[in-house]
Amino acid sequence: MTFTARQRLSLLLVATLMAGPAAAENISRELRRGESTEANHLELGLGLLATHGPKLHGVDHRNPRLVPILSGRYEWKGVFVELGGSDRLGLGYSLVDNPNWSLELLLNSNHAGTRHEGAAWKALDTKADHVAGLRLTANRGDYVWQLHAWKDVSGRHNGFGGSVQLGRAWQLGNWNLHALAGVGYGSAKTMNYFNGVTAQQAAATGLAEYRAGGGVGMAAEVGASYPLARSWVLRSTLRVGRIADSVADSSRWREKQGRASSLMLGLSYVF
Amino acid sequence: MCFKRAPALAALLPAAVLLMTALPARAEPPLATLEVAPVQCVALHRGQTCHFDARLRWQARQPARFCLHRGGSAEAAPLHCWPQGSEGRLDLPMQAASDVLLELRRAPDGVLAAQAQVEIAWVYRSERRARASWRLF
Repeated sequence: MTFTARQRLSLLLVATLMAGPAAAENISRELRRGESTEANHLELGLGLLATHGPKLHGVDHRNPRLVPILSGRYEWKGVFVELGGSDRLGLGYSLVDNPNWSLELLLNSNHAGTRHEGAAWKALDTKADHVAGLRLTANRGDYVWQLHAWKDVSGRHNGFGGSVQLGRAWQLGNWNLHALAGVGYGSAKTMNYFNGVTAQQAAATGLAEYRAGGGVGMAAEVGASYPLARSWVLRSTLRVGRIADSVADSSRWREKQGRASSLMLGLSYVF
Repeated sequence: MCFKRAPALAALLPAAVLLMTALPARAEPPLATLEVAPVQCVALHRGQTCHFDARLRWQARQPARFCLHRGGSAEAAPLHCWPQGSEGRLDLPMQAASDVLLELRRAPDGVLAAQAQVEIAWVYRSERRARASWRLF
């Protein structure tokens, strides 16, 4: 019996929602309920983003540019919806949630799609994927470990991957600083969907065919947040990353560079 | 009939006298006024210590020695004392994780002259960064 990508997505969604009543008697859920209410929030804002790094054919890399800040989480009886970054929507269920660690079943978009301008470059368009996976978060004092393993369920590339990252938070006066570093792996199918150039795409664009393999990327981030008022937060983030070797030579790049960096300064309103 | 009411009136009389003595015709004005700014300090997460520079200003009806105390504890060492006078100012760096009550007390008897409060608020109800924000990939 085989399922289409849409059917797999629906099944996972139903399974996630049905897991709630099954765990109703669990005492830990009562704890979770209390904490979840505190974690519920929605944050909307606007940021100015400046980037430096490789540039894609057919993509307007305006620099700097305004970007939306959408962030939030709403949890009810273990089921949660979260918004991370600027465009990543996630749906999940907390399997374990206590002050020291949590394990969550997460369905989210892991890679944003890319829209190319110009008729010829349109052939290179990619669509955002939807992945299902497990996210493990461990807190030790000011340190946070996070592991995320996922598998594509959208049918875009049918790949899999994972990431591990270590973060730390500090308070300096009323400034909140954080540092974060990690590595991420994407399988050949994933990397090739977003970075490869097929024979058809090569014919349409004139680019050389390219087949990307699985690879590991690295990234680090430092950031600062400052509460301007009860609902207003000023935030700044500097991120540097190293692109996986397996995609660094893709013919999709108009300007090849192994490293990428970005600086974001934003103001957001927290509901 | 009047005789029947007399015991009841006699019983009410002491209560009425007590009430009259307990409620003066006019409320006593406070010994001093105390103003503080800011009236609110905002931390990012609930439970975090909020840092602020309190700017205090007070004026008294009559010159006296006054001391500033924190948190309603007259016995604790004062944060600052002024020499004999009827007004004063102070810039005081402070930090707190919950509301701060500041009291101006007359020295040396410790009579409360005025008080003011700084509210400690926060942006996020959670005590730590959201999980989704610890994400790089």
